[in-house]
Amino acid sequence: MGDLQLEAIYKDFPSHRVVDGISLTIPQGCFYSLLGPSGCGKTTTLRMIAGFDEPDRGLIRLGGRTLNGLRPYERPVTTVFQSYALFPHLTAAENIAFGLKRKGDPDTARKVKEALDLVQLSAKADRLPAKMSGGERQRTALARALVLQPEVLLLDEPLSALDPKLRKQMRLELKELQARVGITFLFITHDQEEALSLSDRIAVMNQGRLEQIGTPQEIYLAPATRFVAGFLGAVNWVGAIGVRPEMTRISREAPGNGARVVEATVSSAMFLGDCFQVETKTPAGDSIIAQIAHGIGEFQRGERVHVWWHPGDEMAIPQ
Amino acid sequence: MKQRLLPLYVVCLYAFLHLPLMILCAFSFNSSRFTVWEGFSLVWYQAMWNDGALAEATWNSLLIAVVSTVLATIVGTLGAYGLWKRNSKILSGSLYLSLVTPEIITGIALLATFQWAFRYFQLQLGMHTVILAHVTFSIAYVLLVVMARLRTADPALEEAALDLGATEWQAFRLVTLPMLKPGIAAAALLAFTVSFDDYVITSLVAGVDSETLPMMLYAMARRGANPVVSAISTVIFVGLGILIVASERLQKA
Amino acid sequence: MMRLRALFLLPAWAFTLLLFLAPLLIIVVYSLQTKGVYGGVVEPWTLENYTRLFDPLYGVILFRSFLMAGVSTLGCIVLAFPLALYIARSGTRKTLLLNLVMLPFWTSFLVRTYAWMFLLRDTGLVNSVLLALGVIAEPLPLLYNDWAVIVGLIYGYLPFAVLPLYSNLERLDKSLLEAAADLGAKPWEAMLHVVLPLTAPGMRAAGVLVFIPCLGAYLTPDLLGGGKSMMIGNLVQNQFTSARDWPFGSALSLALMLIVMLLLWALLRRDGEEVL
Repeated sequence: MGDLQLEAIYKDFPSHRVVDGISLTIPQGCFYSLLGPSGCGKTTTLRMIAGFDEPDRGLIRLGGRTLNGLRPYERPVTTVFQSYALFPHLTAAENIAFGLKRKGDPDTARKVKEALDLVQLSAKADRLPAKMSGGERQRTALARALVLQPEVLLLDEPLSALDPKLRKQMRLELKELQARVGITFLFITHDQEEALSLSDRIAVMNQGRLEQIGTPQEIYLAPATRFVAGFLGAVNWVGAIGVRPEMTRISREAPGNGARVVEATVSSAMFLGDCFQVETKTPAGDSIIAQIAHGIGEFQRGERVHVWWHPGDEMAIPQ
Repeated sequence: MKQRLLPLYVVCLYAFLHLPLMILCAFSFNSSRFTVWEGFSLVWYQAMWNDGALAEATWNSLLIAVVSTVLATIVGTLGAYGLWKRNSKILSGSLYLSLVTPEIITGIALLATFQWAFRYFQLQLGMHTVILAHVTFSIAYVLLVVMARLRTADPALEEAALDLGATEWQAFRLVTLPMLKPGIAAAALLAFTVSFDDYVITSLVAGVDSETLPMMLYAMARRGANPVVSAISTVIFVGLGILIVASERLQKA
Repeated sequence: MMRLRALFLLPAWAFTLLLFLAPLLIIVVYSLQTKGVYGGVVEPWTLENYTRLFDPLYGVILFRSFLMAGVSTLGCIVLAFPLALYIARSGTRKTLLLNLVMLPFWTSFLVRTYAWMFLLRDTGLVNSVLLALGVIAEPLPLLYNDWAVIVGLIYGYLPFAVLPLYSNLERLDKSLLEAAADLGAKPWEAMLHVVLPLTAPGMRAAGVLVFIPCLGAYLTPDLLGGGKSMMIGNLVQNQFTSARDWPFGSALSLALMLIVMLLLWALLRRDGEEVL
C-alpha cells in the first residue's frame, strides 16, 4: 500500500508523442482525476499504469515498488474499462469471481456475494451481460475490479456509456463507494463537471503534458494556464485578465467602488431557463458574456451598459 | 516465448499449404521421369503439347466452362435479384442445400435423372448433359456471391429511380445492375473455376464425346507417376492464376 | 414490381426444380425399389435397401467414414485456430494473409490431390529424399492408407476452418483480453477461460463446414486411399457403377444427405445464419 507515483513518463506512438514527460503523485486513498480532451494522452497513461502498454521512459511506482515491466496480471491495480469489457459468456457473479478464481482464492463465494451486495446487484447475480441495463453493467464492472482489493482502481471514462440522467446518479454512487472502500481511485475523464464534482484532486492534461494539478476549486478558480481556464468552463478575456460569465455582472448604473468596470453595448440576450445570458461588445472589440439571475432585469439589444466584476473573481494568467 | 512460437507455426502452416504445389510445379521441369532432380528440361511440356487427346479434352473443358459460366451467371444473378426483392425460403434453401450436397450425390442423382428422361427422348449423355449439370451446381455459387453484394446495396436507390419515372426494368438495368458488376464478375470467375475443375459430377454425366481435362488428369494420375500430369498441373495453376489476377485488375480499372 | 421478380426467378426455379429437387426425388423413389437382374430398377417396393445400411459389411465403411471425417475435422480446427488467431491480430496484413490461405483453394482440387500423390508415393519425393539421406533403406508406404486420406482431407478443407474461426476471433473485443489480464489471468488462462468459450460458435461453424465435405468426400479417398481406404462416397459411386445396385446406392446417398442436412440444421438452429 502507498502512493502511486509517475516519474517523467514518456510514450511515443508511430505518428506522434502521446505522453510527454508526466510526473505526478497520487496519494493513497485519494479520488484522483485525470482530466483532458480526447487524444490528450490520459487513456494511454492509464494503460501504462495497468500494464497494457509500457512507457518508453520513466518509472511507475506504487508505494516504493516499481511496476515497470510487470505484466498486467502481476500488478496490484485493476481497471473499469470504458466499454466495461464484461465477459459476455459469464454471469454477473461469474464475472466478479473471475479474478478470485485465477488467484485460487478459497473465499471466492463469500467475496463475490459481498461484492454483489456492495454494488446492490445481489438480485441480478445470475444475469448475463447482454441481459443487463447500462447501470447494472457498470456496477458489475466495478464490483469485478474491486473484489480483488486492488491498491489502485483505474476507471477509464466509466460513465460515458450511460445516459445523462443515470450518469448523474452513478456519479453519486461512485463517490460514496470510494469513501466506503477507501481504495485509491484514478478516474479518467474528459467531462470537467464529472471531475470537479467527484475528485479530491485533479490533474489536467493537454497534448501529452500536465497543465495543472490541484483541488477542484483551485483548478476552476485559479487556473494556471489559458487552456485549463477554457477547458473547465467559459471565460471572458479582457487582455490578460479572465473572468467567468457567472461572476460577471451587468447594470445600467455604474457599480460601487472597488469593482472593475467596462462599458459595453448589449449585442444579444438569451433566456436559458435557469438564467439569462447577455452578450456584450466593448469598444475595444472584446466580447464579454454575463450570466445573470432572474430579477436583475432584462436588457435590450443595443443598450449601453456597465459590465463589472469583483477583483477577487479575476483569473490572471500570464500569456 | 509465445511471440516467437506463433509466427514460426504460421510459417510452417503456410509451407504446408503452398509447398506441395510448388514442388509439383518445380519437378515438371525435371528432365528425369523420377523424383530425382537431373536437370532443367521442357520435355514433359513437349509431350503434353503433342498429345492430341489432351488438346481435345482441354477444348471440351474450356467450352463447357465458358458456356455453363455464361448461363449460370445470368440465371444466378437474376435469381439473386429476385430473392433480394423478396426472399423465397424454398428456393434459397434448395440452392444453399445444393452447395453442401456431396458432389457424388449430385452426380448420381443427375445421372439417374438423365437416364430416366432418355427413356422418353432419343438422347444420350454428352456435352449437353455436362453443361446442364455444371449450370445447376454453379448457380448457387453465383447466387451466393451476388447476394453478398446486394446485401450492401441501398433499396432506396431503386425507389428513387422509380420515383423519377423509370420502369422496373429500367431501374434494374440502369441502377442496380451497374452497381452489381464487380460482384457479377467475381461470381462468373468462381463459376468458371468450379466448372473447369469439376471431376466427380462430370465423370458421371459425361458421354463418349465429352471427356474433359480433369477426367484425363484423373485417369493419368490413377495409372501412376507421370511427369506430364505435373506439367498439366503447372499450366492449370498458372492459367487460373493469370485469370484471377487479370479479373482483379479489370475490376479495379 | 412483382411481375419482374417472378420473371427473374423463373430460370433459377426451373433449374432447381428440374435438376436438383427432381433428381433427389428420383433417388428417393429408387431407394424404395429393387435392383433388377441386369442392373435396372424394378418393383417391388421395399425398405430393404435401408435395412441393409445396418449390415456390418457396410457399417464398417460408414463407421470409418465418420472416424476419418471426424479426425480430419479435428485436425483442421486444431491447425487452423492458431493461424486464425495470428491473422486476426496482424493488422494491415490481414487481407494478404487470408488470400494466402485461400490461394491453393483456387487451384484445381484434382491438382492439389495429385500433388500429395507426388509427394507420398513409393517413388515420391518424401521417400526419395529419405532414401537418398540414408534415413530409410526401403520406401515407406505413405500413400494408399487412411493417414494419406486424412492428410489430403485436411489439406483440402483447411480454409473452411480458418475463415469462420478468423471472423469469430476478429470480432472478439480486444479489451476482454486486457480485462482478463487485468484481473490476474495469465495468457494461457485468458485463452482457456475467455477466448476459447467465446470462439465456440466459430468452432462449431468450422466443424460443420469441414465435416460435411469430408464425410461426403469421394476424390480424396479414391486417389490417396487407393481403394483400400473406402468412404461412403466411394461406396455410393460403386453401387452406381460396378455393382450396378442403384436402389442401395440411392438409399446410401439419402442417408448421407440426411446427415448433412441434420448437421447444418443443428448449426443454424443453435447459432443463426450469421455464423456462416
